Amino acid sequence: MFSPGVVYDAAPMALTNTFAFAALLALLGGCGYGHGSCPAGALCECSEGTDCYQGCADGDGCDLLCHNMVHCGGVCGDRCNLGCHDVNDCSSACGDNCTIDCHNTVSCGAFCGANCNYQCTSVDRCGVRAGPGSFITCTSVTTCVVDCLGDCRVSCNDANPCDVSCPGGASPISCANGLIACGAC
Amino acid sequence: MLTRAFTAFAIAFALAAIAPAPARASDFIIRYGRVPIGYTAEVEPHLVLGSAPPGPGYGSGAGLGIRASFVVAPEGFIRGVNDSVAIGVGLDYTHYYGAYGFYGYRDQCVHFEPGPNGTAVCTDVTSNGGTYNYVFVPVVMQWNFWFTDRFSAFGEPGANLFFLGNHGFNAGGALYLGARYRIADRITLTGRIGYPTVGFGVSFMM
Repeated sequence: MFSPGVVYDAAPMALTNTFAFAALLALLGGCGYGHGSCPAGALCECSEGTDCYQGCADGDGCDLLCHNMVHCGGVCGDRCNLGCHDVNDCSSACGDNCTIDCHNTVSCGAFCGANCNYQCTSVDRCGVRAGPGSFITCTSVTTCVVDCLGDCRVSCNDANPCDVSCPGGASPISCANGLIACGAC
Repeated sequence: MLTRAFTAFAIAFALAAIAPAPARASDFIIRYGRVPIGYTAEVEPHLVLGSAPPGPGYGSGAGLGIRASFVVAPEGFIRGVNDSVAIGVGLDYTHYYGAYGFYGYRDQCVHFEPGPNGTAVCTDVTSNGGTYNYVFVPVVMQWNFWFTDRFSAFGEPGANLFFLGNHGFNAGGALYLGARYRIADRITLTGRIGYPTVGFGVSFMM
């Protein structure tokens, strides 16, 4: 015979146990982050295989190159050279005074800081968000989208469309030498 | 080299489990087709080692875990053979170091942000292959063979749920071969090899 002495409410208890288990997993599971393993001043090259993402262990001043794979990219601080070619998707994230060269890929996305020199050649989709003083070149690409965060100049050759957006919604200007610019030519 | 040794050990272990060496008749407990230790559940805390984890992790690592196995068929599958079947559920925590992989390592992107023109830009990468904290939840069928009063072996096919931080839950296969050696009444040393981890612990039969 059932005696309702102590009644356990199963639903909240199950919920509490589930929450405790989820909290345990969140506490234990995870990945360790870092800044990469490439020493400054060295050329770190990555090729073959499917994925490779390199970073600059010292923060600044790395040369990161990847090619002939599916996905690859580099993450670096200031004064870095990032290159990739013959991959599907290339990614570059860099600080100030960087050079990014990307060619013969399907997509080439980049974030870079001030005075960035970004070249995107023979690519389906180029996209870059660049800091002030940057110079962007898109050559033989299907689409090129440039977000300038300050004054910048963009050279689009055989790129249609070539969309340039300037800070504050300002309209880009066409310069006499065929460049598109945010700010002065 | 280690992989070869691991494979050789696994084969030797499987052969030993299938064809036990001759022993005195009194050593065998097959005669009654009964499990020598009457138990309904086994609790086994253990140390675990692993390499090449499933999912996005890399490298090799170590950790702690526990396995609980509940006997569901004390008479096993085969008549006249001293086998039994249990369902095992575990929880293993393993910390992997990417740099200790057998085949070297590559850093991985750990954070992407949407970029202009539908691109994805990686903004954070691992260092030295990264580190990965896995929580494994193996769910297996444990098929035991009780060879002598002291020695038993088992196979454990099943599935392994695993949790890895932002990558969430995933599932993969699991296959283990293990053995026990009784060191006291209802207490055994228990070893287990397989994928994704190998383990060594102490079992308490209840």
